[in-house]
Amino acid sequence: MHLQKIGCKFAIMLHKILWVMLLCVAPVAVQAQSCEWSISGKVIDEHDQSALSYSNIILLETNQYAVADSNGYFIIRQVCSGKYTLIVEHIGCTPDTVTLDVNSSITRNFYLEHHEEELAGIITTAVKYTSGLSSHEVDSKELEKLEGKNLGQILNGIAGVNQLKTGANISKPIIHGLYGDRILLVENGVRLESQNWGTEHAPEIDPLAAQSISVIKGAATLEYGTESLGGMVVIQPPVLKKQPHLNVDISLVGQTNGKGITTAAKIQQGFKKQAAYYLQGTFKKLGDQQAPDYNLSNTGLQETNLSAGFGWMKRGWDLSGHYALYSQKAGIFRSAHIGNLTDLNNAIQSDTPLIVLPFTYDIIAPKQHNTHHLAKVQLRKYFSKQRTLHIAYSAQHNRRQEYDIRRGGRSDIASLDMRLFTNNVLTTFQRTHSIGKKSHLLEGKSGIHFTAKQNRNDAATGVKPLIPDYYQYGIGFFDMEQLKLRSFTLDWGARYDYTRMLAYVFDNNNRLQTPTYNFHTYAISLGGSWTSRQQEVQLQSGIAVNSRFPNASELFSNGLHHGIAAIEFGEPDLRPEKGIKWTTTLLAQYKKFIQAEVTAYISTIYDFIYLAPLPEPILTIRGAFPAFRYYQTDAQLAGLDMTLKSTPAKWLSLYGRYSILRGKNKSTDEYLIYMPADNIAGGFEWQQDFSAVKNVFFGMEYKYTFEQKKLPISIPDFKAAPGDYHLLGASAGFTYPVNDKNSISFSVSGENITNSRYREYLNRFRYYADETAWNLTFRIKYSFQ
Amino acid sequence: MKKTLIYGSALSMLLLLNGCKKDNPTPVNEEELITTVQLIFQEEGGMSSDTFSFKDIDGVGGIAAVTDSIILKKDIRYIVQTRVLNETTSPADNITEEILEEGTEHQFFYQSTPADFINNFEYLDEDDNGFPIGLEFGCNTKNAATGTLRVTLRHEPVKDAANVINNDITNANGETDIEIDFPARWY
Repeated sequence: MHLQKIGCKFAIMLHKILWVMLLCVAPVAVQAQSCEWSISGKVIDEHDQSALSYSNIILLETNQYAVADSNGYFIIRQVCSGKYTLIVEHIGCTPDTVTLDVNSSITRNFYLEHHEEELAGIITTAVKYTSGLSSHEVDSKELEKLEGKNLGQILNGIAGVNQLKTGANISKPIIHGLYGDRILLVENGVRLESQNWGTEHAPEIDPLAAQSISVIKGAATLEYGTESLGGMVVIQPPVLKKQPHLNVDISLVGQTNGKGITTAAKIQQGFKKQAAYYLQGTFKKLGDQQAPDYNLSNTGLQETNLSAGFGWMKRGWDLSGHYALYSQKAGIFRSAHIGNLTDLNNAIQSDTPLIVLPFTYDIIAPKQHNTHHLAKVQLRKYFSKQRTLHIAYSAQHNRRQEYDIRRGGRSDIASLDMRLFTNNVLTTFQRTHSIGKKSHLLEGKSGIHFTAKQNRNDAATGVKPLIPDYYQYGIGFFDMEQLKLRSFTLDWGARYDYTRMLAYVFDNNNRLQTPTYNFHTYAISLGGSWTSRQQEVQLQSGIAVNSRFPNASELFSNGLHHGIAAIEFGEPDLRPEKGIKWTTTLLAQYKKFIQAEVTAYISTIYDFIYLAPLPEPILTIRGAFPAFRYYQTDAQLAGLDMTLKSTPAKWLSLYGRYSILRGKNKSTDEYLIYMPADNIAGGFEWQQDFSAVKNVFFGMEYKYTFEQKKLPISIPDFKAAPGDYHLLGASAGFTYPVNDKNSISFSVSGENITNSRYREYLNRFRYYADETAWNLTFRIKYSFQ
Repeated sequence: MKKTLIYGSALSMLLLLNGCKKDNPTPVNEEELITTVQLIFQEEGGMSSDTFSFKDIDGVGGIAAVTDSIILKKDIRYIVQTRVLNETTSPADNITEEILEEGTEHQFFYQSTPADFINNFEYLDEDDNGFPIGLEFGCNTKNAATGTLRVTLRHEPVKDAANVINNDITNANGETDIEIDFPARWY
């Protein structure tokens, strides 16, 4: 920027010299006139009203000029009366040419159009997150290498993040030991509203529609809710740029295990008329997957997703919209669908699954059908002095159908058919103030959030629903502030939510009860970060208080959950959970040679809701089933994540990561169930550019997962936790630039290349079968810029 | 600006409140629920019969299930009919018919503890493939003693696996839809 300023000045000098030479050649009659006028004003970005510092303003006729200051103000003095052509310039903008008639001093503002304006970014505005958090981004380059994988599988590569799996296809991300309702998933500024209380309900997000995905492990932004006790996952859609451009990306992915194919296409276009849009679609089809020794019958998957967005900019405001459709049909592993405890014991005692059928693409009962629609419209208005008003309305419709093996030809009728309809309105106001004379900034964001939600069960199922019909209304108020000093950043924020829930519950005599709840939840965060002058060390620390009210499953469950062969009883008197988490991250880097990141955290959750077994199994017509009830206790989780990266040479990079976590139930002084085991991973990547092909790479990764020995004694597990295991993966690829507009990239990646036979503690199907065998994924991507 | 905020909020409240319809949901009529299993014992060649049943009137949870004790004469051959009902509806849903219709996908097993508490077991019915279903069977009670009779209904069993047609549940697999332990006494 500094260099360009000098360059600009030099250009102006040259400009000046040329004009002087011209003037010397043609004599100009110097008229007797007043030359005491001045032209002054401010140069402003037309779109977001921000100051365009160090702009150049030139009067062509006399080559008088001025350079605006850091606030965009300029003044040209001793201007004689006359007609002038004024040129206003700034880097990255289209210059503005204005004709001015000067008869007196003029003060006016000049608006320039910035080329690189971005439309639909959500957290690209002033107050991003609160500091004292550890955030990891999986950018578009890394996402490209992971095309074809689901969200849980992609995030699994981040230290401190695991996945709770139900077979190979369904996985929920776990951040620092917490999952489900305790982490917030935000897609393009919209909080994902779905039936996430279920352990076998994966988030309805297509990673192929994302530009980047970030995981926030510490104090998350308070903009979307109070319940991010674990953290947050932020999905960014393709960024819309308003300059004229056209991008086309077409991907084709094939995988050997499951003989699956995924195709995705995306088109992004921007117009000169300050508008842009994108359109994206995905189709995925996967058949039964294989474990090393047998076929995993009925583990096929079919997915059809669509997403689109548009943006329109005008002076001082912009309008954007976004729509996403996620539609998935997934088979539930046949041998995992069991009857009662006797069946379960038979399944567990058998080393191999009880039902093994030949490979097929067919998906039959038991299976899940999920469709999720998400639509959002947002308006941003920019005021002077860097203040922005943002109003966003979003609507989501989630339909979840679960099909069981039923008698009387009813396998085609869903046993569970729920529709969840949610409306959200988020109004935020952002402002930035300069503090003092140095570039100290105070950025703040406050807002109001309305939510209205409705859950309906379809009575045509002929099966008593797992959770009742309910309505939920909520209103939230929040304020977040961030103070940026030279090497320190401080931030703080608070949020309060009031939620009202009305449920329609049928008791055992089919009489309607309508319990109502009024929940008050809140969140507070306080954090700071310090960066050393040379930016080799950064220390972040923050404390966050979050609370979560119990969900419909925790309150109202009443009956047999086939998927887990257990009877669950909700507890209608549950109170909201309140968690306090302290996260500290240290980032250190020594040139490019080594970069290290260490995150330590401790969190205490009061009134932590969990399932514990009742002393006796319950006798039903099907035999005995273990019964569970929801209880509240105080829980404490603490852990450490470490990530190391080293680039000893330009062509070689090495990395390693390690994470440990311990979770305890403070009342019983036992470990919590389903806590991720310690794991350590390391790998290398060799990368080189050649004349004909670019970005040629080859890498390998080794991951070791320890046996989970920290288990609660009082909660029986049907099968002992599986042992430790080793996994080896490799990948290679290159990009062939056809010309400067088109490029094709190829890559191959192998997972579990040693064909390890292993079971993972966090996979609920570990009672019945091994994890999947080796898999090769081939990816081809064509890009047009 | 403040006006915009207020108008925006008001509009959004309206939008939200409009989206809710407050019509009450209807209770689900559970079609596959089995509440009652009846075993009707008739002495071979005799006239009268005794019915022993298991009833879990409201399904899982709620009122506990009630299991009758089977009390029969010792050393007698009985012919037994098994009936399966859903008594939450009126008239009671006869699930036995559905089981018969999907006979190839169902098989009943009757295991006693001690193992020879009942003997000379014989299935008396057949599905479309010639395999037994078990809604009708014959067996002998042994000497005076007490024991347990376990009645199991397997859905989609592997009927041609070893010994399954002989009332041996070991290799039957499939899913358990009914599993009842009847206390029994022969006198």
